[in-house]
Amino acid sequence: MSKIKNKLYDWKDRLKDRHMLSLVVTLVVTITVIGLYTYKRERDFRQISENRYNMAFFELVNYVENVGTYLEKSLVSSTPQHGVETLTHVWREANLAQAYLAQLPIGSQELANTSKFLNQVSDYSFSLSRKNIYNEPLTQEDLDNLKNLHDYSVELQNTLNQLSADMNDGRIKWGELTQKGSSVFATEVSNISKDSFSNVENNFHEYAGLIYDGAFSEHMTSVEKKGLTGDEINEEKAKELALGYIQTSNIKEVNSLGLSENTDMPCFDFNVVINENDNKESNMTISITKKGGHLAFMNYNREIGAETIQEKRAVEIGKEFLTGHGYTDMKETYYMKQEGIITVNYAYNQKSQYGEIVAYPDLIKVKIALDNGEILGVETTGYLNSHNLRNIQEVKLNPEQAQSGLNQRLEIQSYRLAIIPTEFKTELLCWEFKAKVEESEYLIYINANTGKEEDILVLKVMPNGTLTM
Amino acid sequence: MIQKIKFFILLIILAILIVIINNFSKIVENNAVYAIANSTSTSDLQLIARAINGEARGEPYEGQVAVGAVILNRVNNSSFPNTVAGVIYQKGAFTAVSDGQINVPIAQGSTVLKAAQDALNGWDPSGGAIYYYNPATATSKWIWSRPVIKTIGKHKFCK
Repeated sequence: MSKIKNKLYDWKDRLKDRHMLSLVVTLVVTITVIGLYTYKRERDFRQISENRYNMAFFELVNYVENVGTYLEKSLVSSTPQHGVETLTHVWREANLAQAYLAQLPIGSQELANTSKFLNQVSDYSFSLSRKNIYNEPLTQEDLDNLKNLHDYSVELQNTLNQLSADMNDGRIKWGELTQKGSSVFATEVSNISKDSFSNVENNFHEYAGLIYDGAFSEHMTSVEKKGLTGDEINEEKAKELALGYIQTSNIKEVNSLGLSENTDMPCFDFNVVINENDNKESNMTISITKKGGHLAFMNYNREIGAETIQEKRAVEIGKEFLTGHGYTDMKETYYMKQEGIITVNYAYNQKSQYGEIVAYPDLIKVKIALDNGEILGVETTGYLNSHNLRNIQEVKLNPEQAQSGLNQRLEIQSYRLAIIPTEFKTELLCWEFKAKVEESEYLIYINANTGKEEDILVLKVMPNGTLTM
Repeated sequence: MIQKIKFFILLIILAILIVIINNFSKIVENNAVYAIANSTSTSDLQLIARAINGEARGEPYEGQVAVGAVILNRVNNSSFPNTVAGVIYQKGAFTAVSDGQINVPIAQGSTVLKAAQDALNGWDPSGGAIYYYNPATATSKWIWSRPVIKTIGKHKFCK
């Protein structure tokens, strides 16, 4: 005992030497203070995160409940007017539910089906409400779909309520969910919650999705590509075609990257290495479709020198390039200039007995370098998806009739016929009116057969080009 | 003997101090980076460019455009959030978001802004992909089961 005491005194004495004791004490105190401070900050940040996740979760529960209620109401709604109101509510609640679902700290694959369900409920209600606005009653199929959607939403509601109860009872904490490498107990808890969400997902694995006229409809992914004509080709032929699009002669080598599969437009991909002036190399990628050997896209990234080409001339160059490769009757619609490159949108103009009709869905985008007029990129997805010779039968309304329904404040500058795409990949023939109100310019599309106002675009004139919104 | 013990204790204290000071400076550094990020605007173009910067800085240009295209493909897909911000900040979707790489400012002469602009203009070298992974670093078994569309640079793009 006394030996230890002596040792301790010995220590004390030694520590007194050259203020060692005060030094050591200061160090220990500093370390402790820093340690406590960082720990507290970490706790605070975690609390903030957990609070946000909780908020997102409870908002989700609330909105899903509302979706269920409004869906139920829409099933018994008697008048189209009230139907619109109810379906608009469903649209809003489902939209918000989806937004809050995305904020949960759970991975995307676990939430994919639930997200899809909420998106389609939202989208479908929106398209049905539009039907109601035009006084079209809901068909039996619509009502059956709504009933189905309602049943699914009740299931979702129940699972979420169970989760909510778990959280309120403290059985689950978000903090443990988001923590990696947590203790055994925590992982068990996180498994429960993840499993519960997986249960939600499993309930929806039978949800095959709806087919309807909407942006998120099932049939969107399997739309026929009208412009993808021709027979299938092989890689050699594709390479030949690819070389035909390259303008420069400084080609060092052409590498074939193979055929891309599992996509709705299989293409042969090529990488072209190009020798630049000062011993630098740059790459160009070209994709040729397997069906028909069409150019899917081309992209060439290189440094741009000083601008020597005017924008108007560049637009002409692009048009000449397209005509030279078989894309005839393409006219520019809008362009954007950025850092020495101009990106021009060209749309197909179809000749008809009513004059030229601009078909906006048949879109090809061309990038032209403003230092030497070289074609830096081509993008043809729109064209390949939609291009075909449309059968224009009679146009019921003449421009004067179409114009009569327009807003009185508009000052019409010009008009022409146009084919515009809808959100769900169908097409509408419209009269396109370019109009002005005070300082703002607009494009207004009036259905050429029904006179209905289909769309309004605000023209934003910007210093680097003209864009539509 | 006592001298040795004193020496070791001093060494240990020094080591702890160094560790703490290192972590402390990391905290300060991260704050600085976030401060820079907060002062720039975050329109869709900027967001996509930063995401590409965080995910595919060293990739070939086509790979960068492809990452941008994946983001946009997800926006249009019903199984994912409907906005660019929603898709990018979805939990676990992009490692560049989880580890703060998205907040790294874009270097001078970087091609990511051009790549983001191309992606927004419709260029899709990924062939419609909604997933991609680096086979050398991907740990999730699930992602390996996705059907591969093509490989660009270090990334495999999948449906």
